[in-house]
Amino acid sequence: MPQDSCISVQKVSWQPQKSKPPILKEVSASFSPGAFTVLLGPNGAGKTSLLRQILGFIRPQSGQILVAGHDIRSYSRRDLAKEIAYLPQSSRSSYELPVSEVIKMARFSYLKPFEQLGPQDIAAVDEAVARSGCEQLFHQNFAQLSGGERQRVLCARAMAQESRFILLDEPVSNLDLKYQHTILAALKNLVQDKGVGIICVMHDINLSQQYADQVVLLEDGQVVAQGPRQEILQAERLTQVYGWPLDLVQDGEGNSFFVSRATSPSSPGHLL
Amino acid sequence: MAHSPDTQIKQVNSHQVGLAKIMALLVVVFFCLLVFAVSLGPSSLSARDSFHLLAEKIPLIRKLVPSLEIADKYRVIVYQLRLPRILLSSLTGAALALVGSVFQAVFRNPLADPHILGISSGAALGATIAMVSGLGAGALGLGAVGFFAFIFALATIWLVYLSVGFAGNDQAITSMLLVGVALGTLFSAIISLIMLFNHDEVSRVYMWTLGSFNTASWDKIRFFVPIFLPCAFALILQGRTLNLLLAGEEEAMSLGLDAAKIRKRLILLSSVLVAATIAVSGIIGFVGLVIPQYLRVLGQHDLRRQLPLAGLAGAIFLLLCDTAARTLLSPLEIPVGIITSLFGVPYFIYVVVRQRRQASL
Repeated sequence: MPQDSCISVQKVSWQPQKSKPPILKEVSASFSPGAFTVLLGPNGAGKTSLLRQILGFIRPQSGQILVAGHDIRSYSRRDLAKEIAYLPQSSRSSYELPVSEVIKMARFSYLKPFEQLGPQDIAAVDEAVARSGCEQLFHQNFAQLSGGERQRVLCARAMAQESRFILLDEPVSNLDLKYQHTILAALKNLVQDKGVGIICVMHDINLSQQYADQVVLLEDGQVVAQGPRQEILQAERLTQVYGWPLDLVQDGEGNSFFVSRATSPSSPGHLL
Repeated sequence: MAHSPDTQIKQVNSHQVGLAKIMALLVVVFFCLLVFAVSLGPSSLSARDSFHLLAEKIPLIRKLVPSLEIADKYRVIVYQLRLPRILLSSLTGAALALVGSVFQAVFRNPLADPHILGISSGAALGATIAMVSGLGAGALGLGAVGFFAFIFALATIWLVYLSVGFAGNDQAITSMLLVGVALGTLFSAIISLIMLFNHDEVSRVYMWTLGSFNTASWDKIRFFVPIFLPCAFALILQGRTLNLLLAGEEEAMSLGLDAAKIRKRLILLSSVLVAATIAVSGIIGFVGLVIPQYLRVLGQHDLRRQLPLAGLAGAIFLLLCDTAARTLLSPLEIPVGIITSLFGVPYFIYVVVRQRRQASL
């Protein structure tokens, strides 16, 4: 099954501290380009840890991760950056640099030391800027942008990296509605136009419902279900995984939304 | 006004050209100061004579200047005393400012300075031991004091690296800083203990820790330059890499940089350069801390620009300070570390306060 362009996670276990229970327990999942895959699950399910494994930030104790058919450990950082780009929840840096320079960092792995950006690099930057709608920000100082604008710039940078996959860790959870949708829609377009694979940790079940092609549902360090969105996002299953009652409601136009109840019948609400 | 991104990129590139102009300006300023500094001193020379004496030593240019009768006395003063001192203070200033810039980026901390890893305290311990034991002969063209300072500084670096298992990830870097500060305190305590039993040497050790170029010689330059050139060159060229590191380890890694490896290397290169600097000049504070700060206040955040500018600005700053150190109270020599702080700090505070005011407006 592991096709050459896929990311295949095979029985990955990860236990950062011996004294504490493992965070990932024999997790297997596969991600293909051309799909928007959402990693979903309650807090502590291991979503972010799984993402960080695929980014090569942490190494599993057992199991392996194949990127385009090769063990992730055999990649240099430079080569891995051409396969996988990353959009953090928010940048730890407040670069006092022009936005243009921040986005151009995406091309680092393509350049030899001291080589300047070539036409191909500039074309990649231009396209990413246009796709993420950063034209107006291009000359501004990154440090002076709002949180939503910064995230858009970092999204452009991830796109300009022209990697096969973009991995995102709750990219929009700090943002207001407009930015949430502009960023997710830009990513969705990238999937459809260029066949890039998105692997995105998300908290919001309804945003997942709106944007995901595939869903990997995690609970307590294990994958409990994975597959096409319609199959995985079922009220009954989510109620069980999240330990909180969820209902699927329809609006008049065929859209469906998950609604959580304010009090759970099984847990005494008056104590909360 | 919606520029297409393409034309915007071209504008940014043309913006880069500015660096060459600023650099050229600073080089001219530096050479003017050089001539000025050569002419100043107990036996004053005219600027024309000092320019002539300098030009005489430069191949090609030598042929362009008319020959001039200058007393041999001046030749000795300039070539054997002033010139090595001026060159050494400039190179030291360049090294300290450059390392300051690199450290502030690598540690992602604007308060980082070249002495932050305890290197200078280690060097001071070495110097103290050399002084109290009355060792005369050194090696590598250094006196015993400088040589011991250098060896102890290198040993300190090794200890700091050993303590983190020669790793370079975020946690290791934090541990390095903590170990460096702790070692610095430990070494200072040992120095104090040694002083307790060697009262006679207290003032000599104290003066050494304030830094001075009054023992500058061509021997010291022959020791320093072979370390300075490769280290400084390697560091100056790391601007693009250091820009990536500003975002932290993980973002840099995802962009294709082996952050741990590169940080480890940069800290090592910088530390060796600092060790060599201390060996020839003693401990000169403040330069490495504030030159990068000034440059940032002036808007130079991009490390591709900040690093070369820091080198030049550091050279100019320390050349000025040392010239003041040897001429202000002549024949009394003021330790240059006092000058750097005395003149640098008030202006630095002024700049910081002014910036805060502007920010709050």
